[in-house]
Amino acid sequence: MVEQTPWWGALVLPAVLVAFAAAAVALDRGLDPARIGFGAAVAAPGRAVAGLLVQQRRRTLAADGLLWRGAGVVLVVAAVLASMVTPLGRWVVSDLSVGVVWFNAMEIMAWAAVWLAGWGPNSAFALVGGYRFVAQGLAYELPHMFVLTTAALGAGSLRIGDIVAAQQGLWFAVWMPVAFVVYLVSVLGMAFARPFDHPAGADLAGGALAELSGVDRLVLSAGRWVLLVSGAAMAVPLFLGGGAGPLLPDWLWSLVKTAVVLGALVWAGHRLPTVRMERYAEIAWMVLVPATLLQALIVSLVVL
Amino acid sequence: MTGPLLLGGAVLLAVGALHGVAFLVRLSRTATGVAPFLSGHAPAEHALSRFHVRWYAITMVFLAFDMEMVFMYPWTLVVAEEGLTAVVEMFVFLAILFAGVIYAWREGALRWT
Amino acid sequence: MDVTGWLLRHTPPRPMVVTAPGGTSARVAVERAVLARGWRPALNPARTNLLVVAGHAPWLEPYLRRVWDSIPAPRVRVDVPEALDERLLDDALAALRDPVRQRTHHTEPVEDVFMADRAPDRDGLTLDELHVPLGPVLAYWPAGLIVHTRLQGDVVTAATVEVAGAGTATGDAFWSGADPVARRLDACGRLLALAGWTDQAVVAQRLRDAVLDGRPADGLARFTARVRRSRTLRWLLAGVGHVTDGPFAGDALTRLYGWLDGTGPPPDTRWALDHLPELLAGTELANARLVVASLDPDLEPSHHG
Repeated sequence: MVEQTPWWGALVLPAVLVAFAAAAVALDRGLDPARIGFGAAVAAPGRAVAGLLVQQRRRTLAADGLLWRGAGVVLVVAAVLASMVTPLGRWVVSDLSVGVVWFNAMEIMAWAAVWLAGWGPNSAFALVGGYRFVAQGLAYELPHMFVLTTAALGAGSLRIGDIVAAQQGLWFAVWMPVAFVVYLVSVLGMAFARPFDHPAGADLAGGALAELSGVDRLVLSAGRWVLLVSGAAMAVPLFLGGGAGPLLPDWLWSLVKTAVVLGALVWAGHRLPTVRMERYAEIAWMVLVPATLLQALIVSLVVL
Repeated sequence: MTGPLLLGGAVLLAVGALHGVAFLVRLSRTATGVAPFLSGHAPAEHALSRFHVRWYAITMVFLAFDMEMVFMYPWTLVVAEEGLTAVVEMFVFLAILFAGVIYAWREGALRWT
Repeated sequence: MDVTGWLLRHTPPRPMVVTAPGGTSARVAVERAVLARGWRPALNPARTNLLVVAGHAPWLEPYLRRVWDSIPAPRVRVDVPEALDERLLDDALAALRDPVRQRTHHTEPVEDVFMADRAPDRDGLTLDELHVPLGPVLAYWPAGLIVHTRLQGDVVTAATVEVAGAGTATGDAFWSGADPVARRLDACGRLLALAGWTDQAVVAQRLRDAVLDGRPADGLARFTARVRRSRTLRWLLAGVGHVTDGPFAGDALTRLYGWLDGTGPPPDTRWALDHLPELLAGTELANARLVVASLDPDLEPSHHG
């Protein structure tokens, strides 16, 4: 029920992701308590791009320029490649037999990217921010991998198309609620989106992103938002039945569900203070790891 | 496997195009030798240094689980065929690993301040 | 067509507000204008294009010059010595969007420095140590305060306090003539912003402005209940900057609750400055920032001049 697109699907996918990222930025600005109004919120992503395109680039004292600027490129490429296996309705760019592992492998590149962004500029605040992200990864990644495994377990396959097909009776979100919730939390963690934005925190004057300006910041920010979109979009085939739904065509259901998940994630970011790993690591390891393992155990007993 | 190449190529092209546009519309050349932000102070030394990573113990525990994932992904494919044996084997293995986590937790490895 | 000019006209202003001691009234006015115009504040030179200086202090100039030198084009500096004339911001915006003025940009590269020195760490080993000063140009930081930290990784191993330009600040002690509720809300806003709860920090600021205007602070009760009810905030602030006795007894959370309830802690800048070095030693950088914000030292002239 999932088929690969022709070659031009690889050109459509980035455009769809960027459109979602722009919508997420607009929503984020619209939810700001400054209440800038609908028109200004819609214009916000475009204006941000305009401002960064024209802004002067800068290179800090004795910066490691290659690694620093490479960070943004790695992040945005990985964020888009992660969505390569995510179906939109019945179309997918590449329906790999190990789709879940592919998604996991791409999304984990963020570790390298954000750490490099912090290391590159030879700046104390940025360096601390980069290391904060590694600590964050050590906290969110294990529960994240367990819930990916759980979804695969439910379908007996690592192919995303098979996971969608396995949910024709009942969505995984319904009978794997713990896995679904932990997945959403870890998406916020991997995209270091609020409330997991400590690597780019206000207390570090912007942390890992503190020294970036101009097009370099544009590329890295784009990667960050696209990664959030990729994570939100993958929630749909893994837990929300993919493109299944009444009346509307399946591609539209995929878009609608992705928009809802993405909107909920952005909204949650406005409701909570920043979560520091010094506190969260303990919860992640002592609560989320056993909870997700228990969820995996229940699912494995069900599929026997 | 043209998917990843096409997709990666498209994104790299787009990033290159952004840089090209930014170059054409730039106000001035890249500023070089800019001081890193230190609340208005000049830097006293390079920031790149050996970092006091206090969550080092967690990385070790994490690596153990990361290796475990190498088994767990293929395991998902055979659970239904192999039956209860596969489930028991995997979760006994996970329980042993988690006992290690509990030990690390009791030793305070998950709290570093 | 002049694409650069078009992009400049659509560049969102990102003000970075620097406050000199005695510049609180100017800061409050600027923060109010920034919020009303829907601008997002910038936290660092790379992100800003509008350096707004609230108040005036000659000793601050060298710091401002270094920050100015590290701001990429386009950039404008606005000085708001006392009251804010909105036309200042309008003029700054016009300057920001003028391609001719923004193309003449030149920065002096800074002098190179050496690698970090090493010092004993808390595990009895030897580790690289950085000198990272906090303030005077830092968001959500008390005006005029400089804390010189020694940093190993993200741990503050030692801190010394400097009150820059002590006694030289001009202007009135802003808060002494204002409703104490406004000052508490101001402090709440800074602490909440550092805790990463930007939305509630803005609510605090808006309520502060209402109290200062003598308008009814609608929503003060709702804000207080909302912040007090947040279990996440409780979990994140509990135990941070714990003090056993003195005016600030408790932790960052109890001090925040004290501000919300109007029961305290009373501002005690002297105590805060005296005890900061011992409170900051051994803390992680994020905690150090929260500790300072929860003590909220006020270096306006009347307190030490």
